[in-house]
Amino acid sequence: MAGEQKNSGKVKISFKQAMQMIYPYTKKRIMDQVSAVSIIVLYLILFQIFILGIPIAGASILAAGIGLVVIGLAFFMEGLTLGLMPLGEAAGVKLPQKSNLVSILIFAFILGIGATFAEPAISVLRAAGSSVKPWEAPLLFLMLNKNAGALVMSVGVGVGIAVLFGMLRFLYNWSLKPFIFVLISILLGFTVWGYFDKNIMYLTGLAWDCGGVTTGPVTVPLVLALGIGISRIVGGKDSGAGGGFGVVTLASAFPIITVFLLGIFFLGSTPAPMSPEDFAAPQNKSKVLSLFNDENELTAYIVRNMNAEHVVSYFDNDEDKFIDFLRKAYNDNDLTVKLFDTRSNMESWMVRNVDAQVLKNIVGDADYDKLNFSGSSAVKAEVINPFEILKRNFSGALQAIIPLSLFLLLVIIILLREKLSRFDEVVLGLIFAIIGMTIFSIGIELGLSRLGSQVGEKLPSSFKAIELPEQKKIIQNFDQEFVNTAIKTDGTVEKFFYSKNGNKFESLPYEEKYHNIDAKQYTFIPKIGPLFGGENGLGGILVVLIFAFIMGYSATLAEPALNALGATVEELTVGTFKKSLLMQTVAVGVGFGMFFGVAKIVWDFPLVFLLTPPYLLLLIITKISTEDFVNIGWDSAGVTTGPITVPLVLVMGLGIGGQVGVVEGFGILASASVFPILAVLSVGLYVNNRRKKVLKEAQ
Amino acid sequence: MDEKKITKITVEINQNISSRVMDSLKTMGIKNYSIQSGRSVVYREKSVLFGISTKLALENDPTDIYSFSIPSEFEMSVMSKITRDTDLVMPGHGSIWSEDITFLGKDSIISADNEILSSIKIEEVDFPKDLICITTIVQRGQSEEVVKSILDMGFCVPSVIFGNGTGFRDKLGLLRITVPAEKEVIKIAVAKDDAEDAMNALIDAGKLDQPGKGFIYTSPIKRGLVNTKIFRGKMMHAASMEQVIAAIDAIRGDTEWRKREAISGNRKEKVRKFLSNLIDLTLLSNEGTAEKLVFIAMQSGAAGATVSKEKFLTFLEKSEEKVSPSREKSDFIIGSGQKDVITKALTDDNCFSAEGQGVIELKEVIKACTYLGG
Repeated sequence: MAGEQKNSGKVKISFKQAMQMIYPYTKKRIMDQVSAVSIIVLYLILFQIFILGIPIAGASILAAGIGLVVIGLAFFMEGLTLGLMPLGEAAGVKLPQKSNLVSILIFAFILGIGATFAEPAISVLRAAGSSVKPWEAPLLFLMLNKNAGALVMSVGVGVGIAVLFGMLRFLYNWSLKPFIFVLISILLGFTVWGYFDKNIMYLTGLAWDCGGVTTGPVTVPLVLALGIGISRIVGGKDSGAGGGFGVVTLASAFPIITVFLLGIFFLGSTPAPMSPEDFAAPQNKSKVLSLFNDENELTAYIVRNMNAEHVVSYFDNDEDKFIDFLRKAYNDNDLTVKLFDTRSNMESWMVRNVDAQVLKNIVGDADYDKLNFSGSSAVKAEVINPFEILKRNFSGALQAIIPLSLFLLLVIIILLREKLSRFDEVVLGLIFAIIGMTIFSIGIELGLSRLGSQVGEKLPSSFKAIELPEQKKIIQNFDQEFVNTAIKTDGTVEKFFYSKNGNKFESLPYEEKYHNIDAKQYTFIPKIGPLFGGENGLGGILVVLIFAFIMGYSATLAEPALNALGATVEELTVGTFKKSLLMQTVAVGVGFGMFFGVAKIVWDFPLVFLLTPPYLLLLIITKISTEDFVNIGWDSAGVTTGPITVPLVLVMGLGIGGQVGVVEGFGILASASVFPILAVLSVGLYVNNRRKKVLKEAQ
Repeated sequence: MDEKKITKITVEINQNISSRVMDSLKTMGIKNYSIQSGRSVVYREKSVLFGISTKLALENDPTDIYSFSIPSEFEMSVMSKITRDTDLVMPGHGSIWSEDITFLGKDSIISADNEILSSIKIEEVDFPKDLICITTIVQRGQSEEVVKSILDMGFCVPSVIFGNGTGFRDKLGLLRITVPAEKEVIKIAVAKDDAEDAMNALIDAGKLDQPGKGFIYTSPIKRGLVNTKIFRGKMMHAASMEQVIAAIDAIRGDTEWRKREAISGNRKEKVRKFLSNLIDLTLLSNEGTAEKLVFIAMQSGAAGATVSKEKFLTFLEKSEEKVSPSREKSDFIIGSGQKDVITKALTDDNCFSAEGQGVIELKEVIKACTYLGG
């Protein structure tokens, strides 16, 4: 080394040598992600095949999707370590040295708001609230639809305030504990209030989940790195790991409060929850109208989402008025698009829901013959348009990464007039991050969330009977004479019919709604379950809860933001707090969170019982924990809900919620955030106690 | 810049009692010092299968590593006071050692209140003299073999910090990202007579004479008290072996009595080529400036550096010198003939200017070993 000195300057590397260097580098990064993702994938597949006994549908697309997740995550993680994190860290180190307090705070606020718009969480929340009915939860419906813009804005402002306070904390060396005590007390207060006011109750779920989803895979590492940079410059004594963490926690808590405040602002003008009959009653129209942009939207919603008698009631109990409305909508192209998005949507909707005679009347005889009756009820084959998927995910990735990193670059280079060290590496990192995010989003869309939804939708079969629509069969020439009756021991009578399937004769249950008497068709939809115990049996539910635990655990291990947090913690503690320990702890915590979150949905108990006890316990543990662990523990709550977990969790929550008839799937994410904090703080207490004991022994 | 001979004192202490060192430095009027985060590694007896059997597991504890420089005449008083204030004589608390260095840079960065320092009386602590510091640099994540070998030989508790290597890597352009830069730096202090055996054992353990494995070098320590509490487990005697060793060290005033024959057992003697006639050049500068300064040093012949981060703390009311609290420490091992060329190049590039606030520390390297090619 010292003996023979080489000349510096660039070394010439042949193509072959370059490949020899790139190969092990790439292999290691891919293998890291393979081991991170394989647990959840294997688990989902094995569960579906061996426990639920249902074959995997569309396996080749799933496999391709999962492959893309692996490659995408490998690129993205490398992009984080090369590009985004050094950028955040550089801004954090330079900012306090070269600018004043006001500009730091303005910078922090803009960064927070920007982060929210870059990673739009609203689509996730919309999905969670997609089954929300305006009569059951009017306020929630209002905020997710008509006032969704205001909702995003309030989340943005919440994150902005959070980053601002986060910076103030570093600059003045404030503890995170008082923030936690005040914020969590307020949140729990709101939640308890929600227990008594139905409108606020549904809002509570949304608000808590908003806190979880604000902190995405780009925001977390960026904010983390920024905090670490700043706390290296300021704060005298705290050289330990406590410095730098905590912003993620604030960025999870403040938006919950701003969303609550927004909800309270809208509360006055929102009608109270009511029955569907009242909702469709003409005299309530003016009240209900405040939830929609205009009357057409309200009408369309009622026509499309409510059953026939409510619809007729909405049209002043006059069926002709309803038919007139449909005719008007059918003939006015603009109105059709406004109400049903596309003409074919409207046609297939009418075919399904409107009496043939009336339909003829509306569309006229000529058009009636053209209507497509066969395609309307069959499950349409899915068309995957690769270019559309690529374009959408690529622009999503650009939107998430470019504005934020450009903002930081401009601040560093123009405002602070600093040179960025290893600029080429940073740029390469940003490119990697964009490529990675594009690829893994596609992979999640094609692979992971499909696999998740296949399992999630079928999961309730372990404790109740569910239908398998994709295995349905249409029996031709079906006639009433094939139907037999059977009697049960309690005297109730059930109908069934015999069918020959291959060489076997089997008896199938008969349900009148599937019998199309005119067409002499019987649509048979096979059912599965309950697989374990009786209908709603404890055994079956326990299987679901255990499934939720393991899924939460294994999905968390693949989360990129948690990986970044873990690596940062290990680096800052010089390896005394291992990345693997943090990740395992957080994953177990998420597992418990999922367990209780799903229990909430299955038994439909109020959110207040799910969140209040663990948070109260958490406040006590926080009080007695050291600052380091409080910061790391609370931050890990924010990183658990990322791109891998959220789709899987939501799909499962909604799947179960749909099967057991719950209004919304909110609350699981919040639950998946609180238990990891408990887990990390508990481990922290244990580790610290042992270290203190060891030190005492020495004395 | 004039060269100055001073003494550098390093204290490594368990993070839980780290504030004791800070308080002690404050009362002594030592106004500027640096802190690095490190970890100490010990063996812990771990019960397996509900206590049927036991095995040894490595246990890591966070430590803070303080370093500061003082005029050599105060060495004994400062060291003994810190040792008393922090109970360093108790095995398990930490280590303290002093080195003679040559200092280049602004005086204000090492300024101490000599009046207060001279008023400190030397307390009765016996520091073993003439120790050797062995520094091993390996790839991140590959320290375990080296650490285990140190613990197995029972020298002392190794101290580990994280750093980043520069050198060949930085001549590759963007391809450099394929070469991991992350390093672990492991330091131990051993008795002079053990140094050679220990170094050979560590080279074997870490395969340091093979390509891409790492680097090892030894440097003299003037006085030192090292943490010998290398084992945690059940106490079988009135005093632990570490306490007995510490007591005998204290009575003898040296560690020579601990000299053993052929520590590394029946290792096949092979002719190992060591590098000698070297100097350890440490450059301390504000964060963000190391990259450029290392590049300049490399242009004037240095092979590369290990860069680690440290926090610079000052009790000075209002320092005119804008020394950043976040500093980078670049360690070069250079041939002694290169010293003048490299320091001149760094000086010419204004490494002492307000932007970098550089400080150069030079100390003797006894010998070094790494893969030397072919």
